[in-house]
Amino acid sequence: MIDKQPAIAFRNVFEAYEVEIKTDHQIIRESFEALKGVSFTVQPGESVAVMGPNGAGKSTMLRLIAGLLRPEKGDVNIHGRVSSLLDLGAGFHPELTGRDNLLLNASLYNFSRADMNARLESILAFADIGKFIDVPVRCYSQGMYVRLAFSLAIHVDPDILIIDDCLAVGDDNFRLKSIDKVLEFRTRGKTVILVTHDFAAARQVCDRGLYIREGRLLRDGPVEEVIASYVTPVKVDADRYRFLAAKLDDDERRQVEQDRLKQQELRERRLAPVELSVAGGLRLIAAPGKVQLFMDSCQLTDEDGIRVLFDYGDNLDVTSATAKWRVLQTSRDSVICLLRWAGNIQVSQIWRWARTASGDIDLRIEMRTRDGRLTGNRRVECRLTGLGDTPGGKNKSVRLGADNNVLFITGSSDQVTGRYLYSKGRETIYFLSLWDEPKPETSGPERRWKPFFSGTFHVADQEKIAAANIVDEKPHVLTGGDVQLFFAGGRADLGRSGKRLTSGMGLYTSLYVRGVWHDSAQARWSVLNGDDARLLVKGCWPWVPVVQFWDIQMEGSDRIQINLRMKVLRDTPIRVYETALMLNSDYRQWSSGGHVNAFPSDVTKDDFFRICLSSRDADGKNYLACHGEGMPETVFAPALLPGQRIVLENAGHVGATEARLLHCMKVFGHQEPFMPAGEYQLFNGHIYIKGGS
Amino acid sequence: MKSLSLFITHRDILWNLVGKNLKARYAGSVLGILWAFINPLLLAAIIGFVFTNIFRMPVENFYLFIIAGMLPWSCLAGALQESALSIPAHVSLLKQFSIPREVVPLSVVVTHFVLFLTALLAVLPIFILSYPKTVMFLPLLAAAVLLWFLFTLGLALLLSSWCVQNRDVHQILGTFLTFWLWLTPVFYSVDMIPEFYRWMVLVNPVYPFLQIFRESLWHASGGIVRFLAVGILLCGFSLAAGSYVFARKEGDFLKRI
Repeated sequence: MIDKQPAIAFRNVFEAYEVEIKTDHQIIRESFEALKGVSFTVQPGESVAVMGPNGAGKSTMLRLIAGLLRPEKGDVNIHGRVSSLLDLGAGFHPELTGRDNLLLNASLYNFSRADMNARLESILAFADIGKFIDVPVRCYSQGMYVRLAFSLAIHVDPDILIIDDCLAVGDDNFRLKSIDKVLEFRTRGKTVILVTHDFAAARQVCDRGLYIREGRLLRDGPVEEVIASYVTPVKVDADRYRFLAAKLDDDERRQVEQDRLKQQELRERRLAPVELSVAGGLRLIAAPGKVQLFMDSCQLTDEDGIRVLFDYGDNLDVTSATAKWRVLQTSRDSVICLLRWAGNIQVSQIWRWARTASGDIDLRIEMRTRDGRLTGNRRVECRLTGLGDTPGGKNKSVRLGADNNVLFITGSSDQVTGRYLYSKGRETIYFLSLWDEPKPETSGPERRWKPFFSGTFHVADQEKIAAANIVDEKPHVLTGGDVQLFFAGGRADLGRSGKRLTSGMGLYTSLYVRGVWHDSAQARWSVLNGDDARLLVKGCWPWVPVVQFWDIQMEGSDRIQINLRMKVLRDTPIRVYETALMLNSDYRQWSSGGHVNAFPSDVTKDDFFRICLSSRDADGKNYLACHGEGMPETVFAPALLPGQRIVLENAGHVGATEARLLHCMKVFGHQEPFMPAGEYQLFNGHIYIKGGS
Repeated sequence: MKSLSLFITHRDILWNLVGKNLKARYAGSVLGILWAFINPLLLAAIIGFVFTNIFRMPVENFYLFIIAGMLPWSCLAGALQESALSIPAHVSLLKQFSIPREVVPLSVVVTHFVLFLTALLAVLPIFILSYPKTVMFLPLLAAAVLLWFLFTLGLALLLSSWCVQNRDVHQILGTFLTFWLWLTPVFYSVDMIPEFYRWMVLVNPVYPFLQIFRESLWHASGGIVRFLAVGILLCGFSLAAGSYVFARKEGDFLKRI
């Protein structure tokens, strides 16, 4: 910098306006002090964000910099050409066309006409308003106005560029373009003054922040710090203070001021981000609405980080990101926060983060509701920076990324895991609660704190994770002669004499809700009653408010009686429900009364085979038989309920597994928007396993 | 006289503003700048008709007599009316650029003089045809226009700064200008005024200027040196007062509008 003088220097600047206060009876003239002794200097090349509430004196300051006002007291020294974007449309005459206005403005910026003509091209290119440049400016939209004005301001080669929050008018595209341009402008060693309420823009463009309130410069420092202090003060208190101050004498006023500062300090402490770290390198930073997890220097979670969601009455997916956040207690070992929601969501939560002796971070969330309108759909979400992984397959834990060993393990049995790819290479993992039949309430209103979620962030070693991958879930076995049925986790396999007849999912059910298939393997199952010949299980589903009861009974050596019922707990838009049997691809033919037909031999995506049957046998029963070399004939014989039908298809297109897929499904038309809460028969029928080898 | 120095230091801005004023004034009108003399001529025709046929004025070439008075007068009246509101009207410029604010009323006055000169040049042949002597008096006409400009500018500066503070001034201005017009010998000559009221014309600051215009265009009788001297004096006085008031108030402009 050849010019060692500061670009902008304010020394104890006062500025006052005279305002007329008009009441019914009289007009009072009062002096209003917009700036009360402001001092700062800005060096050439600095970029400064000016922040503060409305009426703080920001605009007055900018006008002083732009040379439009003269200070009442104090000195303002400006070095360099200033171009400013202060008021929308300032400098443009409505009757003149955009082009004429540019030429007029050129002279006002002290440019010659030739100079301006040389720049016209790039101004027009940047403003990108097309033929509107030759239309009177009064016909412009606000967006076009700001496009032209900004384009002009940046092209007149200023040393100091002042922008007063008008970029927000432009569309995203233009805003990004403008920010780029301002950044480029900065790199050329020019000075930028930006007044904004958009913290993102302030962070992006500026290094330094000035925080002005009530005509005083309260903070001057790195932009992050200034933003933090800007967010904190709450208006209500300022008003209360002003109201009180008007009535009090000096001593009392000092007392109130001290009180206020103390309150403010407390509040800042409550809202400031808190950090918890453990020896293993795991680190947690909790700020209002956002909890982020780090491993060493690597950020594991992103965007909203870890948050909870729940339904409260008609409010679906209430999230912790919108909660009011207060840190109750923070120490080396634990952080306790209180979350409350605004409006009619009368819910409080307490989040307890704690270090454990083993180097994990424990999370326990408790919840209290005023009137108990809380419903099932509770979940804890964790947005990852990469892809998650579910070692152990089953419901208990999730890995926060393929290249780290951080596991998120649920601490309660009524939660299952889920994964959802939300953008390329990024996944959300979650623990979500299961729907269950309402238990009879023991006490009256839900004023007690109840557990909402508990879990652990655990750093495991590779072997442990590998070990967890081996699922050791013992199936329940039904036996009838040499036919066996294995039930485990919402699916059943059939076998005879040690040969597996089913493949893939085996016998399972599935629901199609809001564009997503939810199948019975995602539900959590518990055995209600069971022996060698009969099994009664209950499945609680996540996502869909549904509970299913399966009653499976071996009747002799060749017949399995299957009776499936479903309880829908709330009205739910279930578009399709089905019971399916996935048979081994060794089955090559099928028949349904009369002819025997062959399955297409190749199971490929292109050779998609699907057929709907409605034929019945001589007794009026529906059945579908499958035959295969060395396989016993398997007959799928549901008693079709109204609207149900049998569908047969090759399953190769569904996934990697080649199989014959036999469905008994009901598809609702679009005029039936949901299944009302109630109990439904899902499937009733038999599977016969006959003859064969 | 800061405002006059702007002719040199800020000529680009000044002429651009004048151009803008003219464009904005006739934006969307078909006849455009032709209105600059159509309007005063129409007015002169109407007034001439009324005064010759109804009031039966004993003045020779009465139409020319009226035109010689009407053109300068409507220039003054228009410039004052517009410059009174010129600061609020240009607030968008003043909020954007740190320019000498005198340039705003100055540009308004220059705009009206451009219109005045256009009209004057259009009617000058008629005068020359009627009074061939007029050609000899063209330097005097130029001096008249110049003095008239300075006088108007002084008043415009005064009014424009005054109106920022007190908007009532603009409200009364229209009525005041009409009143002033009737007190000024535009439609009648001084001889017609009863002796008793003659003093009213003599204290009217417009009167000397009108006499100079009439002398050069219509050839009123004598006393031209006296009028020139008074005119120069009045110009100086008007400019001094206008500049002084404007300079004192200009700092507050942005706070008040």
